[in-house]
Amino acid sequence: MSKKLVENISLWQLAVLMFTFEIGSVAVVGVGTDTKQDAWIAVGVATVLGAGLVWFYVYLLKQLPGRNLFEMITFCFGKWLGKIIGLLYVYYFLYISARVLRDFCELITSVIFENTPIEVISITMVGICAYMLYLGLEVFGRTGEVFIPYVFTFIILIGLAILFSGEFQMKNLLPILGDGLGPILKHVFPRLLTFPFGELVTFMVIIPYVSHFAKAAKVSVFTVLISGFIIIYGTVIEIASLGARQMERTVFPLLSAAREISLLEFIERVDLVIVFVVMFGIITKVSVFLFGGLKGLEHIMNIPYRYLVFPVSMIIGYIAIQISANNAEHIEEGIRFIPLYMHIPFQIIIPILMAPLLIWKVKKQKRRSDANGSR
Amino acid sequence: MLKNRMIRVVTFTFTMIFSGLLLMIALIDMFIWQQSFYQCVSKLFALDEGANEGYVIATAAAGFIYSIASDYRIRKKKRSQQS
Repeated sequence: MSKKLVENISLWQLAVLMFTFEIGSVAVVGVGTDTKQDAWIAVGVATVLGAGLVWFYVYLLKQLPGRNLFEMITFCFGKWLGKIIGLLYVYYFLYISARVLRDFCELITSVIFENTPIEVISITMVGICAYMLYLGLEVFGRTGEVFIPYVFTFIILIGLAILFSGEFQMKNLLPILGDGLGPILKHVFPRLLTFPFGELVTFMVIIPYVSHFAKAAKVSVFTVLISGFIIIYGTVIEIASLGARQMERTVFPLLSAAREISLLEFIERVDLVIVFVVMFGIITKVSVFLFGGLKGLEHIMNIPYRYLVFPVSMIIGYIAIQISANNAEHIEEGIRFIPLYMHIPFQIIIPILMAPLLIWKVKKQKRRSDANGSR
Repeated sequence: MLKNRMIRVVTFTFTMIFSGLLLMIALIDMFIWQQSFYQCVSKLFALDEGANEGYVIATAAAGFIYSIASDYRIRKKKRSQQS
């Protein structure tokens, strides 16, 4: 019953998953809009801090090689308290997974499929994620590998197309630091650090399955820096083409920016390319959170996660619709409640509390095994 | 009897996750919109006119039926292994 399948992904697949995970929701809702024309600076600062945070997560994983977040929690806090904290993480992962899915559903129903019920989009998307996870982590990793060249190329091309369309206004980026550093730092913590960078805490469930675990820290930090650079690139495009004020008011800024593209009066309506990028990003993000939740349930309930893929996915499809009555309510909850009361405890406080306990317990275990060895 | 109950782990997990997430949504709504718990819960289960919430309710129900079927499969497998 508790027999586990050994699955491995390569370092490249890990990097691909991390990159698309980071781009996912950011491409939908945009980040740093409150800091107006300085949003790209805020993203830059958050990227550096985010890289540090990811290094810390991998450092924790290195203390107990081969064990994931849930196993580490049990190791640190004991069987029962560990299971309770693990269950809270499961709820957190699944709840965020439903939120991310809802982001995408809102985008699709308001931009492309205006007459299609949001429920249909939700069920379809979660069905894809469920199927991919049912096939396993390796299939998930390979799917990422197949799509990453398109995602990367499309993002770069969108920027160039806006530049050549003449919609790129450098003056929209001025004045730089007009309100000083204060608003930027205020925005970086907690909002920008926790979303999207802190959400990488979910990868504490995936990183132990990487084939070259020793190099995971370097690859993770490098990937965060690259994805941060791409987010800065996207933010600069949004500010330069829409202007800070319009960007603040727009629900889907990158999509609105892509709509400005008109090359040779022939290449137009390329916003669908952005939808493709977003769709793949969201599939990855929902799947990673779902996988995190399922792995947690596997650990807590002592049952292979494949038995739970379909039922739990169907719950996510349902919760994504019930989570809020409309998009405005959804965004409001995402700004007022989630960063402070959900992201900070699960992304920062619990891992920080866990660190000294983990180091102490590992040292104790080593001392004990050394003593046994010398006898 | 107790053993049989313990085997229904998928259905139990489904119920636990489903009710837990709904409770979480209700609590968040209570906190943000300053409404009573009863109001938030009744809002969750109210079917809006013209909306197609029936679709997602049907899929959630399908998930529940699947979990019962999974438990039955696990039990059958265990029994065949024992005999």
